[in-house]
Amino acid sequence: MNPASPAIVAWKLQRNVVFALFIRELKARFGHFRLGYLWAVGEPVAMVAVLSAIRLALGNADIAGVPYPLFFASAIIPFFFFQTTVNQCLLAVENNIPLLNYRIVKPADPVIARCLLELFIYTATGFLIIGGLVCLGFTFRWNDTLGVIAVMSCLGAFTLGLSLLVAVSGALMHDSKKVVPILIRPFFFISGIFFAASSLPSGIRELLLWNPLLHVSELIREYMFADYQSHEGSLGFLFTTSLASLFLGLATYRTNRIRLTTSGQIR
Amino acid sequence: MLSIRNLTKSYKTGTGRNYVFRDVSIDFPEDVNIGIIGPNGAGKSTLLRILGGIDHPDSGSINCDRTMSWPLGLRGGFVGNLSGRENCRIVCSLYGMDTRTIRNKLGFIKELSGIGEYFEEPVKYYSTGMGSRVGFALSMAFDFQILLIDELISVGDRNFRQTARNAIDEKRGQSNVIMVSHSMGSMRDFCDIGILLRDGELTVYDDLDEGIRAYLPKEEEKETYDLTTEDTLKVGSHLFTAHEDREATNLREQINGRLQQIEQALRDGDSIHDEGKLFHQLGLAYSRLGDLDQAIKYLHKALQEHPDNPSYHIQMVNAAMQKNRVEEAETVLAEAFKSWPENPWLLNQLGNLKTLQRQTAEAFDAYSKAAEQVPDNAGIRHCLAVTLLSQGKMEDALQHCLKAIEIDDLNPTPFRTLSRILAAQGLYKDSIRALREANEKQQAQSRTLSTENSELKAIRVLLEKATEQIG
Repeated sequence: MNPASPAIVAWKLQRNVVFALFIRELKARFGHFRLGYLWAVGEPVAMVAVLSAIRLALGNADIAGVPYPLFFASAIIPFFFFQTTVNQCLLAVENNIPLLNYRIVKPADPVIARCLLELFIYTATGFLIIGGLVCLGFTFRWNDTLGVIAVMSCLGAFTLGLSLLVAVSGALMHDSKKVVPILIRPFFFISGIFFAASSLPSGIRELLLWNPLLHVSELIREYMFADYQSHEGSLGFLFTTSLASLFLGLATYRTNRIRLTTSGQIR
Repeated sequence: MLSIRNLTKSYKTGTGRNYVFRDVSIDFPEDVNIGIIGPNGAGKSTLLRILGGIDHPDSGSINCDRTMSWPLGLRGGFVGNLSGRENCRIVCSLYGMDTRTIRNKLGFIKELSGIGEYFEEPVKYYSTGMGSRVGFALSMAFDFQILLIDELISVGDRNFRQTARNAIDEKRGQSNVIMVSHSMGSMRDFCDIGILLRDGELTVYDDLDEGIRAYLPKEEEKETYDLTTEDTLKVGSHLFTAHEDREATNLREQINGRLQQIEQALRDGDSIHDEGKLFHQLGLAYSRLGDLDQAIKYLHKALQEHPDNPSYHIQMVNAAMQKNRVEEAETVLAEAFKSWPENPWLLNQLGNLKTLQRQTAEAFDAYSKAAEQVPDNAGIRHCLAVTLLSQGKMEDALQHCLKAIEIDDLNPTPFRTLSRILAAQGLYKDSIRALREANEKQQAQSRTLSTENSELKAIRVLLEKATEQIG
């Protein structure tokens, strides 16, 4: 047996810590009552229902070849994942101060754990909601599994990067806890959740296409639904912005990591 | 090996920078338990946090080749809305234990913490003491070579401190503690050497007490004892005993002083107002001090001066009987009865004398006569009861004994006699109740007065009076 290389040891330590924090977050999130799991599904379901009702009032029709509840659901779930994760990570360090008492726990660990947890929750939610809609008779032809995974991975990286950034700011700057949720909310309206990018007037479309979340909506629909064609969504752009976000997040964390565990800085 | 090199740590304050450490280097001694002493705000907890890797210095390094625990403090370590078990499970899995090991460790932690089913309740409902019990037990589930303890143990009660002590002792040879505490008592319990942290400097004292002395002026040490009520009580009683001892010493010195003064006056033939009184009081003082020979000598002299005072006779008889000089007592009594044949106190002494001579019938007569004159004297009543008990007249004995208790229900002795009488009648339950009562009275009595000191005070009063007779 070779002595374990430092990288493997470090990986194992990291894995243990993230796993333990994952469980801790799971318990904190859902507590001791099972209804908690229902809540996780409830919010996107309600949103899908509301948007569908509006759509129904305006005239029952498919949007760009996709049944409208599926059209909404496919974008709402990734967006909610992003929104919830960033808001959760804003308080990740603060909520885990007790566990920072153990030196193997670094401030980034609860951020990673929260991202993973939300990813699990919303993946499960996605399966539930899409599956439910299919059972209700809203059928579609599945397109490209790998593509979906690629988009979700990019979204995951994008969210993690932003979450790290936000977690550092949340721990070190009091005001950011108020500001960040307000900044995120408008993205609900410009991320192509209830419209297709192709339906936008050309001047506005180019502007909104700087928003990576719009690309997520476009691409996820394209890869899920064989009938949906997106000419605007660019996996390359999404990939690049995700890398940039991840880099920004990690850089911010790295430059501030000492401050995060130095007394008199947090709170 | 654990060492610190060129450590600097500062905080920003409103007016500038406050340096906790400025370029500090130290090698921590190995294989000893270290207590870190220092005033509030000196940076003791900060030092532990830096050692524990959860706080960062401005500059400098910590070198350690041993496994070190997290700082075991009162705050932190547990998530409030999770139970003790869940918290411990999280920490165990943080350190990468597998599920089976964790299950065993959780059992161990619950057991060692001794908080029972509270282990399953959210930590936010825990008292400080319970939290620290769990925190300590959790740390014991790991095999750390150095335990960093920040006040954790000193908040516990004595029971917990003992448990902690034992648990650490079990790891002796593998584990040492570095400890911060405001309770010098628990420092002494756990630490061998002291490191004084003051004004940003660390000084090693090979003897903990030396370090404590260097830090605390003697007065202050008492105040810093007071972290728990139990500690306070303990210290309180220590101080009380110390105070008592000091007072007793003082009293003894005063008494010796008085005695020397009086003896000197007698030797020098100073003018004395009333020699009889002086001798009497001196005799009583000696009797109370336990020097019966001297007592008898002086009481005798007093009696010669004042043959007309019955109480002088009585004291003389009493002293003589205590010294078992029965004949002398008899002579004095006979002399006294010539002048006061009906005096109840003389009769009481006669009864005592007869009891001593095992003539219970005569003793009974004497006590009865005395009791006729002073029916409300508990002492005489009790003597009657004891005499009747020895004669086997239980009914009468019971009556007198109850009467004695009725007159004075604070004295434990009649209760004991009552217990004996009831036992002789086969009323064991009641007998035991009476005995219990007696014990309670005894305790109440010893609570209200420290017997030794009040005795000494009485003697001092006697001697003061005696000295007044000296011109």
